[in-house]
Order: sequence, then C-alpha cells, then structure tokens
Amino acid sequence: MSENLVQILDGNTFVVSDTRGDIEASATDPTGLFSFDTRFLSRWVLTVDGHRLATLSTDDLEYFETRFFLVPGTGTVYVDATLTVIRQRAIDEGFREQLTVLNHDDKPIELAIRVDAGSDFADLFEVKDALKKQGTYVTTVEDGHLVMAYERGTFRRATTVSTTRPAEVDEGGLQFAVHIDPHGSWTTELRVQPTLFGAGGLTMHPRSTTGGGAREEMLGDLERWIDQAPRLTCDWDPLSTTYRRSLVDLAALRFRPVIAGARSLPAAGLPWFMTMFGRDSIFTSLQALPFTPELASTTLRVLGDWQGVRTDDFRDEDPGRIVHEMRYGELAAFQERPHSPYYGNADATPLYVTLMDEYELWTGDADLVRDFEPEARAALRWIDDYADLQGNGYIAYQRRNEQTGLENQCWKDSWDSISYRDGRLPGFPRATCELQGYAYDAKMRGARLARQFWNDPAYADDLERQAADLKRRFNRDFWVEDGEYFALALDADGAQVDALSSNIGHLLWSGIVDDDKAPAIVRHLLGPRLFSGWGVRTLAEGEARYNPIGYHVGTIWPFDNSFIAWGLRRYGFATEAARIAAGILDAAEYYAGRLPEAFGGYERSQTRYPVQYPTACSPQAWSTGAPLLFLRTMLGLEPVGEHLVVDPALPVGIGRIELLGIPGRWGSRDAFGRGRVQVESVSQLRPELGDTLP
Amino acid sequence: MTASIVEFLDDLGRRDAHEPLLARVSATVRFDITDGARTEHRLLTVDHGEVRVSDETQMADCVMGGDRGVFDAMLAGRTTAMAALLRGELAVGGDPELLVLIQRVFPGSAAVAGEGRSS
Repeated sequence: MSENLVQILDGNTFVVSDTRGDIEASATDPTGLFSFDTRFLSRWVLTVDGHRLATLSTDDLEYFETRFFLVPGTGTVYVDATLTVIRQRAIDEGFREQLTVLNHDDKPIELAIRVDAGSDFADLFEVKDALKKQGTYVTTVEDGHLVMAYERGTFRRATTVSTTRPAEVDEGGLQFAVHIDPHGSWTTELRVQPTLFGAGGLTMHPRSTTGGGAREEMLGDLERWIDQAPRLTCDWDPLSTTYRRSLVDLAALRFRPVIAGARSLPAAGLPWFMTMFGRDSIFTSLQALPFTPELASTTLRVLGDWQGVRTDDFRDEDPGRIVHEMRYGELAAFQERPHSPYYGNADATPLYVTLMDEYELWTGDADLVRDFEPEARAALRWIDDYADLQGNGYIAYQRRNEQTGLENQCWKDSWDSISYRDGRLPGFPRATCELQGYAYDAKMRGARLARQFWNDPAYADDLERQAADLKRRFNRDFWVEDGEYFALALDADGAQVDALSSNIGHLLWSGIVDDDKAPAIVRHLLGPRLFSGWGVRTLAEGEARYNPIGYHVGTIWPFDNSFIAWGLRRYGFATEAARIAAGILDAAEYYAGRLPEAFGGYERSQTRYPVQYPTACSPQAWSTGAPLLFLRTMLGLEPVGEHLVVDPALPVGIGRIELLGIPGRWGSRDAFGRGRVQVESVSQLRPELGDTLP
Repeated sequence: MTASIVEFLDDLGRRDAHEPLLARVSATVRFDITDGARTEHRLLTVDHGEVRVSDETQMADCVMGGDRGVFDAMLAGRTTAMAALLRGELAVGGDPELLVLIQRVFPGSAAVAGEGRSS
C-alpha cells in the first residue's frame, strides 16, 4: 500500500483514505470504507466554502482510530491560519467521524461545510480485477439521512450517512451552514453505517472484534490483549518496539468469522485479505502459540467446522480438505467466484493436523483434540485419498475449477513461482517439496494424537510407517545430486523441478530431511545465493526467473524466514537460526517494527536498507507473527511434557532478553537469554551480514 | 440428486440416523421451508450426532428460512448456505455455526463443474 494512505481497521471492516481523510476511489484502487469484502463508501470529500483542505498532521491514535489536522488551502504557499479543521475517525460498525472546526480569529465567521459522499458497492475482487457491476443503484434522503443502496435481485446492500447536527442532505452529500463565534468552535459527528439486507427482513451490520464498538471498550480490550501476552524486556530497544507493534497489529487483524460467536482468529492482511484464510490463519496461529494460544483454538474450531465434506469441482472441495479462503462479497454470493468457501490449497490440510498437535503440546487442551478427532482423521485421509494426483505417493495440486480456481495451491501462489533452473514452468499436477514435508509432519504428529488421545495405537503405528516410508522416498526422489539440495517440486512426469528455493527451509521445520543431508541444506540457506544479509530469498540468485523484486521469485518474506529459523533450530543449527532472526529483526527496525509481507532480495551491502515490495500487504498477519516466532526460536522455547524448556541462542547485539509470563500447560513461565551468537556489532550496521561503513 | 429438502429430512428422521459429522453437536435446528403459499417446518434435534426429525415449530438454537428451491439447491450442492445467505435467499436466526455444521449432512452432488452456478 502507498505510504500516502491512512488506514484504520477492526476485523473485516477497514477505511483507507488519503492523508486529509478524503476518499476519492477510482475503480481499481483499494481506498474507501470496506466491510464484508464490499466497498460501502468510495467517495468522502470534505470542503469548506468549496475549497479542499490541506494536511497539517495525521495522528494514528489506535489501530481503529485516527485524527487528521487540516487547514483551508491546498497549496503550500498560502495557508489561512485562522481556521483549523479536525477530523477524528474511528471504526464502529462502519465508522464515526467527529468533525470539529476552530475559529482562531477575533471575528465571527460564516462557513459552508460540505461532505460529498458516494458508494460504488464494489466487490473487493472487482477492485482488484477491475470488473463491471451488474446491479442498480438507488440513492435517497430519508429523515435527514443519506441512504445509498445497491440491488441485484435479492442481494441488497446499503450505506447510511447520518449526522448529529441538522444538515441539508442531497443525493451527493451533506451540507452545513455554520456560524462560529470569535475563538469559538463548531462540531458534529458523522456516522457511516453499512447494512447487509438478508432474507426475511433480517439485516446484518459489521461486527466489532471486541463485541462492543465503543471506543472505551475497544481500548480496554486492546489493553487486556497486551496485558495477557508475555511481557518482553530487553536491552535492544528496536526489538521491544517490534514486539509491541506485532501484538497491536495482531489485535487489529483479529477477525470474528460469522460462525465463530465471540471468538476470533487472525485474518490474513490489509487491504486485500481481511478474511479467513486456511493457510494464513494456521501459520499465524503457530507463530503466536507461545503468546496468544487462543487464536490457535479458534482457528482449529472454525476451520474444522468448514472442512470439506463433498466433491465439488467449482470450489475445488474434497472430503477432508481444509478451507483456503472465504469471501462475503457480491461475486462470492452469486458464485461468480468460488469463495463461499473456496478449498483450492494443498497445504492447509496437513498443516491443520500440525497446528492441532502443536496446540495441544503448548496448552494441554485434550478436549479439543478429542472433539475434533473426526476432522483430524479426515485431514489425514485427504493426504492419501485425494492429494496423490500423480499416483506416486506425494501431495500434488491441480485445480479442477479452471476458470476462477487457483493455479498454484501452495503458499507461493503467483503464476511464475514454480520453475526449473532454466525458467521453464512445469505442467500440472505439481508436487512442491514443502507439501511433502507438511505431510510427513502431519502423519508423525497425527500418530502422537492417535496414541495419546484417540486410543488407536494401530492407527498410530500405520501413520508412523507411512511417514517413515515417505521420508525415505522423498530423500531419494527430490534430492538434486549435483546441487545438494531438494528440488522445488516434481513435475507431472515425476521429474525434478530443479530450482533452488527457500522451500528447502520449510523441509527442516517439518523434519523430513535426513540428518546427513541437513548440513548441505543449511549451507544453501545461509549461502550467498539465498541469503541476502536481511533474510533468505524465495528463489536463489542465479536461477533464470530470479528477480529481487519478483513476488515469489526473489523477494524475502519474513514469515518464510521465521519458519526457516524454526527448522534450523529443530536440526540443531541454533547459530544459523539466530543469524536469520537478526537479519529480519534488523529489517523490522526500518519499518518501525511493522514487517511488510515481503521486501526486496537485494544484497544487504548493496542497498543498506530493506526495499519494500511495491504492493505488499501491510499489516499482514504472518509477517506480524514472524517476530513472535523469532523470539521463540531465539529463546529456544519448546514444550516438553508438562514443562517449558528454554535454550537460548541470541545474536550478540540483542543483549539480554526476558520474556515473562509465557502461558501454557505449565501455567505461566519466564524465559531469559543473553546474546552470545556473534553476528553483528552495532544495531543497523552488521558487517557480518554485508553492511559496510560509509 | 433430485430429492427435495422435505423428503431428505423426513428420510433422515426415519433412519434414526447417527451422523458422525455431527458427533460434537447437541442442538436444535429448525427449517422453515416455503413452497408457494405453504410453509413446512422440520425440527432437527441433534444429540451428539443422533438426529431426530419432527414437524414441530418450537424455538430452536438455529432457524433457517427460505424457499424450497434454495434448500433443494443446497441439498444438491448447487449452492452453499453461505452464498445463499449473502444473496439474501436464506434467512438465518440464532447460532450460525449450526448452519455450517448441518450443511455437512447434505449429500451434495459429485463433481459439479463450471462457473456461474447461480441458482
């Protein structure tokens, strides 16, 4: 998102405006008031006596609230300093905007204040893909309210604009004739409320994540959220900033799916993905487990409820398959997009079992593991019965919905993400390597659950045998002999897609890598082709499609790196894990603690700062979760039986870290660590990672 | 897959069905099915997956109302409860989680292909 845009959000409701607070959305840019994947306000422009205003400052008060200080005059040459306009805007079932005008003059003034309002009711998919609307618009003035409505058959949405002061309301907005005494002020509150009209006269409004929408309630909820999380104290201030930013952004990205009652799970990210995503919700819940385990609980419950039960080519649904993405807009409603919900992913299903096991290891919540035994078993069955599209015992993907389904059903889902060294793209089905790791891990973890909670040791033995067989075959079939790494994928003929990629790091996390092959993998991950000094690139330098600002072919993804670090620790490479943590956490400092979805794969010594990927989502849930997982890997936190084991390996410059009040089956524990891993000297300048003195 | 929703639910009731997909559900769900001028009611009482069906009209934890056509489309897998809800064709009161869970016992239709399957 552009840096000149201001955003506030709560759950799946968010407002994106310019720095004046104005919204003038074009067909394809994501500005406006959005809720349920629909733009309920595409025009919102404030004028005083017909003139636009200029920004003095913009204060982000909370994730759901912002304040704009404005003055008349749009240029920088002339500013009428006798008038200040303050817009204070907060999400509240739509939004509220307190509009205040201060007269600094010793004479009274008469002003014509106008707010233009309009809505195109665009589906977020239409904004993304520039599609045309099929329904009709009706705008009316009712009881002093401006009501903008959109109808297509029984599908009906409306936006109501109201004000606490009488206004002249016309179909294009609201106008106030204002008199302000010398040194006096005038204020009104504007309210913008979206409505979804259902069958039988039922209506739905956006819901606050906290239950109530009042400012005090939301502030109180945010305080509780931060209080309940472990407290971090450390010598390295940027890490404290990043940690707090992560907790606040995770709070902002909490999303209450329509079916989840008062519980919330992480939505994927602003602006395009404020919805339930199987993969993103699972990865983020895994990252946040030592900090906010309740996210994992909701993710397991909601994804379990929505688990596929039938074969449906349009939605790429199979029995046992975990949801990919849910959407609430017009195109999903009319099944012009398959997201009601859509199932086309190949990783969330095994990862569901991984999350369930990891969740139990941390929390001891055996009830959930027993209640959702059928779902976990169905997920494990999906791996063998529905995902083996090549008939060789590996998970592979190929969409059955060829019009609107997803081509690449792994986390690197852009069109060119999976390639051979020479840049050719393989045909389908494709079996990417990390999927096999996830399958292995799911079977091993499923075996533990079967033995300990489902009273089915025979099934546990079966799963372990299958996992051992998978591991043996994988280390044979995916191993690229001349490069000493694992192929990115097997193609439709079972041949290796031989590019070197970050995916090999996820394999360490899953434990599918033979011990004697791990050192070679680690050399690649920290070697010059993959490691930039800031982090591990998605695709190695030297591959034909490598591009340092290619979405999945050269950029660095903080989330990806956090799981790679976890994998390195799993195989005993604590020093290397700390180097990756240091690189990404250094990068976070340049973004005031908020890691973007991805940043450029340029050599650290070349750019000196991490270049943000042009259209990256921010905040994004699994980037927000990355610093949390890095804290876990740096401190070496592992649940073992009823205890929390702490085995720190911290970069030297970080100094001392204390993480106090880590929740889990042990109650609450503290962890301490001191930086000993030599990777840098002073913050922001790490010669070992490529920085040089100016 | 041409069964109507009323026939399907009545058949479910006659079977004294145990539905493994509803094993963790204990709740009541009422269907209000409009067919022309008539509205038929079916009440599902689920007790840990044991399903009983009656035509009572009492309060339920979740109530779904709509034309017979939209229920039949859901039953056959031509639409989903969520899409019908968003289109304004299906009214849902009470706990919407039950809507998702009950939908699991609808057989759907195997391998329905294509796009734009508006019902």
